[in-house]
Amino acid sequence: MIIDARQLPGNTTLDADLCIVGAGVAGLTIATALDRSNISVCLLESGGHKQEADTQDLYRGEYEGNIPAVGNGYLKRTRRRYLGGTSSLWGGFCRPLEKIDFEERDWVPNSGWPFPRDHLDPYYKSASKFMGMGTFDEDNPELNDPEFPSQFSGDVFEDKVFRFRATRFGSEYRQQIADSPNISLYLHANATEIVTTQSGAAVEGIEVATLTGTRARVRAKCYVLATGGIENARLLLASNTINEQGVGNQHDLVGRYFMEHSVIRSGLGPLFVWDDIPMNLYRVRCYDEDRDRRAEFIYPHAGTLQSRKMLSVALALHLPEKTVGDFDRAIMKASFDLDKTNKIYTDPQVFKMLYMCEQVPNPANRVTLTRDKDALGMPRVKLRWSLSDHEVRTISQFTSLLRQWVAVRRYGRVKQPIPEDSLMQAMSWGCHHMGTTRMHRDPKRGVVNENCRVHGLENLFIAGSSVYPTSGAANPTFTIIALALRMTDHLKTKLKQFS
Amino acid sequence: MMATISRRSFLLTASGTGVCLLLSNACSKNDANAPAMMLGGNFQDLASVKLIGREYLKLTPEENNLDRLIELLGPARNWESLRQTVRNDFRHDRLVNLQGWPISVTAARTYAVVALAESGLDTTK
Repeated sequence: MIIDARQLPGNTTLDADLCIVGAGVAGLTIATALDRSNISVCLLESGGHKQEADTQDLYRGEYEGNIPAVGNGYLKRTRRRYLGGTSSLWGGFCRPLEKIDFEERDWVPNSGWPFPRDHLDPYYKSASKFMGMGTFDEDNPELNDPEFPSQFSGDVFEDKVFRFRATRFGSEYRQQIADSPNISLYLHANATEIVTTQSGAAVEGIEVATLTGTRARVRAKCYVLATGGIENARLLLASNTINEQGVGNQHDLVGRYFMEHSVIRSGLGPLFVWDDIPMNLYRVRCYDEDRDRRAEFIYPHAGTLQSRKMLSVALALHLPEKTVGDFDRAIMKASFDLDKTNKIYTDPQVFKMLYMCEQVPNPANRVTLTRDKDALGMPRVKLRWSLSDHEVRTISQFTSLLRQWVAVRRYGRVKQPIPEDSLMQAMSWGCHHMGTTRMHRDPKRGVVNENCRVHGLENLFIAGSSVYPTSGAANPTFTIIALALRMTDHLKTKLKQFS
Repeated sequence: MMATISRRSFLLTASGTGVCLLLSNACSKNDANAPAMMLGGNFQDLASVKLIGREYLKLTPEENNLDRLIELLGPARNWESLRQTVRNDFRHDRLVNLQGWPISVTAARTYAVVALAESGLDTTK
C-alpha cells in the first residue's frame, strides 16, 4: 500500500510492528524482504516518486575541508531524496568488501569490523540473489572462464570481479510495495524527531511532518533508520528533546568518522596494454541494465597492502580513451619495439583509469548541525571532511606499482600526468557517505553494536553505510544490501521477542 | 644511412621502416678487436623515437652530447640486453617523466641518441 502522507488527517498515529525511516536501498531491501510476512511495516519516505525541488532542498548544507572539488553543493548533488533514494545515481557496481577490509590493520587507525568477512558471506550470497545476478564465490566456474584469463593476479595484484546491476530501487519495487498486504509506504513523510522514553533506553515514536504542514507520529515495536550516511546522523543529533546531545550520542560519536571514497576518475592514466593481451573483461561499463555484465578490477594483493601500509584501493579500467595525443602515440610506438621482438606494430588497447580508494576513518571528519533550519524546522548539516596524506600516498603507490608491473612484464605503459604533490587537486568522490554511525561492540567506540542496534537503545537500528567502520574500496551498495538482509533476519527474531 | 660520429662509431642503418643501431667504443663495427657493442633493434617508427629523444634532451640539456649519452648508456650491450636494462629501470624506478609518461632512462637516452644522430648534431667537438 502506498499513501501520500500529505493526505493524512492531522496528528494521525500510525501503528506498525516495524517502522523504517527512508525508502532507499537499505529501507526498501528490508521492507521487501518482509513482504507478505506477519510483520506490519510502516515505511516512511521523504519524497515522492520523482525528484522534487523543495524536498531535495532539505539536503542543502555546508562543507568545510581540503578537497577542492567538494563544495556546499556536494550535500545536495550526491544524494537523492525520493522513492529509491540515491540508487537513482548508482552506477550499479556490485562487489563484496574484501577479507582484509574487516580486519583491524595496524596501519589504518580505527579499523576493524566487529565480525570477519566470513560472517557476511551468506548474506552476500543472498544479496546476489536479491539483485538477480551471479555470485562472487571464488569457486564459481563462471568466474574462471579460460576465455577471459586473469591478467594481473599474482603476488602484487589481484583481479576482482565486479558485477553491474544499476537497479533503480524506486521503480523496481514500487509495484511490489503497492501490492503488499503488510507494508504501508508513506510518501512525502519526513521523520523530524526520534522520540525516546524519558530514560532514553527505547524509542517510543517517530515524529513525521510533510512540507504541506501535516503532522503524524509512528508507533512501532522496532525502528530502523535508513536515511543514508549523512541523514542518519542528522536525525540522531537533531532528536535532542530528551537528551541534549541527541539520540545514541552519549559518547559524542554520532556524525564522526565520515568517510567517502577518494576517486580519481581521469586525472591519472591512460594505461595502454599491447593488443595481444586479452583484456575483454577489464572494460567497465556502468549504468548498464544488463544483469550479466561483469568486469575485472585490479586490487593490490592483501600482502601488498600490508607490506606497504596502503589503504584498500581498486582500479577500474574504463572504455578506451578516444583522444590520444601525438606524444602519447609516440610513446606507444617507441615502446613497442622495446617490448616486442619481430612483430609489426599494432595500436595497443588504451584505458582510462578510475581509482577508488578507502579513506582513513578520522573522528575529525564529521557531520554536525548548524543553526540554519530547513523548511521543516530541522537544523541543516555541516560536513567537515578532509583527505589525509594516506589516501594520496596509496593512490600514488598503486600507480607506481602498476607502472612497474606492466612495464617489467612488457604488457604496456602507464601514464602519470599529475605529480604526487598535486594529486589532491584531482580527487573526486563516489557519492558514498559512510561511517557516521559506526559499528563497534564497545559503546565508547561505536554508535551501533554488531547487530546495528544503537548502543543503549533496545529497539533502534541503523541500516546503510553509516554503520561501516571502514569502507574498503568497493562501492558500498552491495554491502548495504547484504547488511540489510542480515538485519531483516535479526529483526524477525527481535520482533518475536517483543511479541 | 651511415654516419661516423666523433671518436666513437655510430652506425645507423635503415631498411624500410626498420632502423638498426650499432655503437662502438672503437673505430667501426668491422674492427674485430674493438669491444664493439651492438645496441641494436628495430625501431619501426623513427619519428616517434626522435620526438621522445628530443623531448628528453630538452629536459636534460647537459646530455645533449652523443659521447656523453653513449657513456651514460654504459658498457657494451646488444639489443636484448638493452631491453633487459629497460625492464630493470622500471623495476628500480630509474625513470624520467616526459609529458606525464614515466619512461626508462635507458630508453630515453637511446631515443636521444637516435634523435642526435639523425639530426647530425654532435656537440662533442
